Amino acid sequence: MIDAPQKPATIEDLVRTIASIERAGDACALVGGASEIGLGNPPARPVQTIETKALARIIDYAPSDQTITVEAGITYDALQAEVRKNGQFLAVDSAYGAASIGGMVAANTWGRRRTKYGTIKDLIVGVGIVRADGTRARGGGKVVKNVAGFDLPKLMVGSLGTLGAIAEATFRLHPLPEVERAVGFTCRDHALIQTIASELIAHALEPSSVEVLGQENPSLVVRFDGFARGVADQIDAALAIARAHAITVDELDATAIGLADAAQIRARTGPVRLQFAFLPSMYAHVMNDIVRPLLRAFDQVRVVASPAIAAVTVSALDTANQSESALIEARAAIEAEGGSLVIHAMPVGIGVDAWGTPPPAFALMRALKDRFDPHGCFNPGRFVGGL
Amino acid sequence: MDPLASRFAAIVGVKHAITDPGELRTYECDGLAGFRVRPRIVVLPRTTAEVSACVRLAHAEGLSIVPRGAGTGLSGGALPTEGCVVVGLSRMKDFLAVDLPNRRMRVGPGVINLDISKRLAADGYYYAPDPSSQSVCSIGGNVAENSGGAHCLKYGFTVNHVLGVTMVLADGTIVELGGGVDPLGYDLTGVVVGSEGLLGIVTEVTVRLLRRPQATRTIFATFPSTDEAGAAVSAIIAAGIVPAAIEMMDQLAVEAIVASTHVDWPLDAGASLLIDVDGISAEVEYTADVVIDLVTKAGAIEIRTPRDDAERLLMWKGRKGAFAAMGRISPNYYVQDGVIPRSEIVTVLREIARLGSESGLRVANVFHAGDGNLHPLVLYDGRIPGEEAKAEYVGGEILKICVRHGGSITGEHGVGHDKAIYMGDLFTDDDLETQHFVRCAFDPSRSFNPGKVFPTPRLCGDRPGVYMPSTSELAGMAGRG
Repeated sequence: MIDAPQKPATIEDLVRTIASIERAGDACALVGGASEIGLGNPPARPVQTIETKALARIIDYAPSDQTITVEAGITYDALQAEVRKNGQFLAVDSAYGAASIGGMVAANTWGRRRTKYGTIKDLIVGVGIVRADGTRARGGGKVVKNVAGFDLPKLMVGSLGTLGAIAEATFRLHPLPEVERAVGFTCRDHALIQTIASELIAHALEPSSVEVLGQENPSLVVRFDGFARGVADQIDAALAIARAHAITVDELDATAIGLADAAQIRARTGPVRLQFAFLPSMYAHVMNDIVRPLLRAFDQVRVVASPAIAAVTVSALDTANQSESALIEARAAIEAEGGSLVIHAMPVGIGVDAWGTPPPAFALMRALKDRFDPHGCFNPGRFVGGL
Repeated sequence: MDPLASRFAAIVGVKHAITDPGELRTYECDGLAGFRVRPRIVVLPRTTAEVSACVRLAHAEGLSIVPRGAGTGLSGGALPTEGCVVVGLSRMKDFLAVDLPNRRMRVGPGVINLDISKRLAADGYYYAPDPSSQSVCSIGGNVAENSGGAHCLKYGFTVNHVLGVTMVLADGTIVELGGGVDPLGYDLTGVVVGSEGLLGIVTEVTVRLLRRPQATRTIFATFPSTDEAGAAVSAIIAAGIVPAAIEMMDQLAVEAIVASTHVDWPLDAGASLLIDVDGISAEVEYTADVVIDLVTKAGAIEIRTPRDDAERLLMWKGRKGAFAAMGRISPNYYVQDGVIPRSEIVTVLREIARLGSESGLRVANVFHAGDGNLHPLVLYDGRIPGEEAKAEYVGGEILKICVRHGGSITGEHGVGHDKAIYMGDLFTDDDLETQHFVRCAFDPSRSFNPGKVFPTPRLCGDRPGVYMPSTSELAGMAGRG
């Protein structure tokens, strides 16, 4: 029996809610800011929605230790606003400020600065979950360095809430950079972009992000953050790389609207959103031979690519011609190269699995799921391979 | 040779199935030499297939399996259990594939940590995690322990630099975990790193490679006491600088280091800091200047920067050789590995000093101050009856202090045999049961490394309760599409 959304006000409430849902043999799904509500397959059976918005407390913030422990329902913006007061930030991007931190952990949300700072996996140091049987359990801790016990925090990142309800988490924070500056390269093709991206590394530069906007006349936007002197030095080095290739390069206003676009594409523009991941050396091939042919199958397509991370996000307003077969073809092609194509949002009626071929260690994942959530209480069927 | 040994010998060769009591002695302990157990047999396989066959045989015979890397671990993670088979991975030291365009490398578990960076030096790449034992410890052991090192303040731990592994499970199955970019499903690689040999045997590792930074500056500073040194650490962090490393050594530690390496550090300073800043050349020049300014303001007595690379390497050799150097000032020592929030350093060091003086034992401190990872070295003389037990007691009390201040019982050495009894101070029974779920999913027979990490034995049986269908069964009934 599924009721209106449950809205626990405390983690103790959440424990009671989950325990009663499991006792009744029902299933549930936690929802924070709903920024990744479209990620994954439709649930295998009806789920009781549990909204985490009210679980928004900052449990412990130690500025001098650069760590913060929060309840899962706190929004990305609220957390950043609090730590910004002390010149710090959580080094992960979300273009959707109302995204909940718990949801970002569950979906392993990342943005452009992954290039320099990594993903939530590199930032999370502790987690508190509520198990399907209503037991609270913690893994990791509140200090940045800690190897006591198995790494439950990492296991929760990207698990889509299928092992337990993420109730609280502790993160390592970074100092806010003194400045961030951007340069834009006009590149004729993706092969050149790949060359420039690898030259940035060869020169031991440390860009905060490397992004490509547009498909036919792609422009490459590279940003650097840190102390002003180091950033100025890196901008000069980037300009020198452009001169060596005889291409136009301009310094951009790092806060300009055009740049915010990339984040918007990654966030939730439109009902279609796809994400490719692959090895950096495959970049030009993926863009030309796998992504380009796929674009015809969608309407009003926008693309943002990250050659340094080796990921591409495609968003569109709607499906168009033969979207289903185009997706199947693109997935087969990217999987053949050792990559993946994950569907983050898609209109109903497109019958393509959200994740693709389960990995070789799928039996172990199934075994984990069966140990943590033996009756399939959490998000049944939504995750990889129907977990 | 007994019949069982013959069967292992048929897999790995007679020379690599060790049962001779004299030869077995090498494998009775790891770096935590106070504990010794003789294994039934040691096998040294050369390939993943041989590991799989050995594990399958051990499993069929109901033998416990203890994986072993270079044997340098400090928590007794490779300590044998009575009647077990030790699977030593030291012969699996191949460089399997180098992929510089994608900045990754695939290696056997027996490859020595430092050899990766040495091999890549000419190309300008390196492998970041640098435990002090990096010239002798193996990557497989690093994966098991999630090893850290001085430079993980900026660069992270083993887990941040391992992209995938090949692993042999308890029934001999060979599985590939991770390896690609953003692998689908649960982060099994992330949970295997740091699992201390309880989940399986890692037989291949894909590591992330980093480009050598443009520049590195090293700063050595001395202070009247650990109070001023601690204040300097806080000031550097508060200035928004993320140094590659900040190491603190107290007077006793410096005395031992100077005696063993002849680095010319002053012997009368209460505390010293060894700091690395690295990255973009212009930024490093700037941050080094800021660091020098901050340590001066915090009350530094003397600040030195190495004249050349040779002097810089000598300073780091001194720091990395600190544990071994204790032999110069004490017959025996007991290493601890507690973690505290960085802001508690000064308070906790005082508590440790008080504990030391109350017990009558000297405690030297050498540690990763940037991330609050303490390494108190409790000095004792094993020939004096009762001193070893006293040292262990002091070590245990230090861990309790760390937990009381919101920290952890281990930052990089692992729980192993040594600290399993303290897990209950850090985690509740429910926390431990939840971690045990992971073990049961990988190794329901609990064949791998029994007695380690978990303070009390647990079974992997079905949990009591009313029968309900499993997820798999439900999925079968509900269908999917």
